[in-house]
Amino acid sequence: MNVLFIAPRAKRKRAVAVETRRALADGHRVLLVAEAGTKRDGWDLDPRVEVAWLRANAIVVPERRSTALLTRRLPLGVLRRLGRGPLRGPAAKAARLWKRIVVNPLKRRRKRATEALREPYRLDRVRDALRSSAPDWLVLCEPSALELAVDFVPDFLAERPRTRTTYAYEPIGGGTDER
Amino acid sequence: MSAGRRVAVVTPWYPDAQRPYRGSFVQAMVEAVAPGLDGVDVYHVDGWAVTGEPERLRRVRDLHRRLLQRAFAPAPAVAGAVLYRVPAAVERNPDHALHSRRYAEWLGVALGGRPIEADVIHAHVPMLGGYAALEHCLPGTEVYMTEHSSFLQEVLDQPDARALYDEILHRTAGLFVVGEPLHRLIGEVFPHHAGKLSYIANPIDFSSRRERRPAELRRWLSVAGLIERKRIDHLLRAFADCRAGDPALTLTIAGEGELRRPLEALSVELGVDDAVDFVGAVDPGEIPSLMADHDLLVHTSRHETFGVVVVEALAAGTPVLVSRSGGSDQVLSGIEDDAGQLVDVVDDPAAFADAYWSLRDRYPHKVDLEAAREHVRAKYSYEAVAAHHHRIWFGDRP
Repeated sequence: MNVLFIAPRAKRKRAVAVETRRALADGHRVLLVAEAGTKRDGWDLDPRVEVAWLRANAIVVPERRSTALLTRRLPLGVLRRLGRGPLRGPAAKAARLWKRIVVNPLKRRRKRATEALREPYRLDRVRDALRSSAPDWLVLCEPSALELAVDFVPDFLAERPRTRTTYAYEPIGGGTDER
Repeated sequence: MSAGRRVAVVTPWYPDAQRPYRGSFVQAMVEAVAPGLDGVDVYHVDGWAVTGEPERLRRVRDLHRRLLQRAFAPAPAVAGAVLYRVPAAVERNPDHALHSRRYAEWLGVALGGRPIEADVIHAHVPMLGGYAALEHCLPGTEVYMTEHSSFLQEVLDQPDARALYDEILHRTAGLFVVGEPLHRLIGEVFPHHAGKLSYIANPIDFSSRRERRPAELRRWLSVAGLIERKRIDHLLRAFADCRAGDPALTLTIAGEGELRRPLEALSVELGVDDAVDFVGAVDPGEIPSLMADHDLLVHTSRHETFGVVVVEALAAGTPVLVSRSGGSDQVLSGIEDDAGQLVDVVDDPAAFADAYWSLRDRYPHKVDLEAAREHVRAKYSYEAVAAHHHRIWFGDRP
């Protein structure tokens, strides 16, 4: 079988490493679509696993220099400097307030915009993997895989209804508890 | 009810490939009780945090409803038990009652509307496993529960969650706790259910032990998560204090957590990094040999629901120097001096250091590890805990 593991945020690296090994040991061809980010620390994959690294974390909506200067660096810098003197308490309070009212909403907005770019990118890459690997078994191995799956699994199953879908690669009947 | 002895266990915590240690005490319970039963089915209902955005959430829930039934399949587990994994998609939300209802909902989806076929159900964590079990048991099936949650106070601070907990207590056949702190908390909040509340132990493996008792108490071992509640910083300061008096002391710190880096930095700052070894998470199966390779278990936790690591140390024949964290006091009740030494939970590391020197002064002649081991074995061995569960579930029925 072609077993495709989908881990768009790589939140369960250890499980993916263990379960892909189990699948290989059972004689399957194993493919993985996973986030790598800028570092690949924590992965301990069998070299036989065919991996498509997403690198979606490298996609970031840039922040305008003027926005960074006027909303963060300048006001927070001034408040930090004030905080070194006798106005330490009021300055810290003002900085917290500024962050809550100005900085954090901007951060959240930027995060949403970034995610709006990453999501279709992830989806495209997963669809590429589906096309190229023709999986018989899909393993949605983390919550974000389930979230992403709403945009491709219904269509995929309509085309290939016999595809097995699970949330982990567990031994099926006949496996042993040592695994 | 039939006279069968088929038991179902419903639990939110059970070891998996990602977290092989989480809920290892539930796995140990299953392993202990399985002999003598007709069968054990374990339903591991695992929380999966998903988006709270309404439209996206609706689509996720629709798809999950469809896929969960396709994925629901038995897998082999310990001692011949059968394991079913049930990912429970729960929108990110701090409402504990919502989590409870979602766990129950997804277990129902996985079961395809059928009830759990079992003569008795034992659930872990009433708000998560317990409520799900109650919602899907056969009419007349008794549902027992064990509470382990160290965060129970936070749950009961929410009015909806407290009301649901009250309902769960009303419907359960019996609620068990593993330590005095949880017994006190539940008894205080729900005095009208006090009659249903009693103790049960987590089973500990007593099958192996060290060959000889430690000659000197120089090689310290801590087995604890590197989180604030465990006060490993306090331990490091006490260790540094003691090492100033005996440079041959070493400390092995087993466990992982968010504080690892600051604690490593603290060991450098205290000048003891050459004697402190952070070994990370340890497989539960390796605990006995780890205990046997050290002279003294040290534990500085502020609060514990049960002193599992203390029992493991005594099972391995290793003395203990532990804080009065609630669970540890209860485990060592009556055998404090035989097992080692208890220390009050105070902020001064010197108190822990003083306790160490006090223990070292009277070790080994005024410490009776064999008596302590036998005492805890009678309560916490697999055989003892299995017999206790079987008595609860079936009474004197053979």
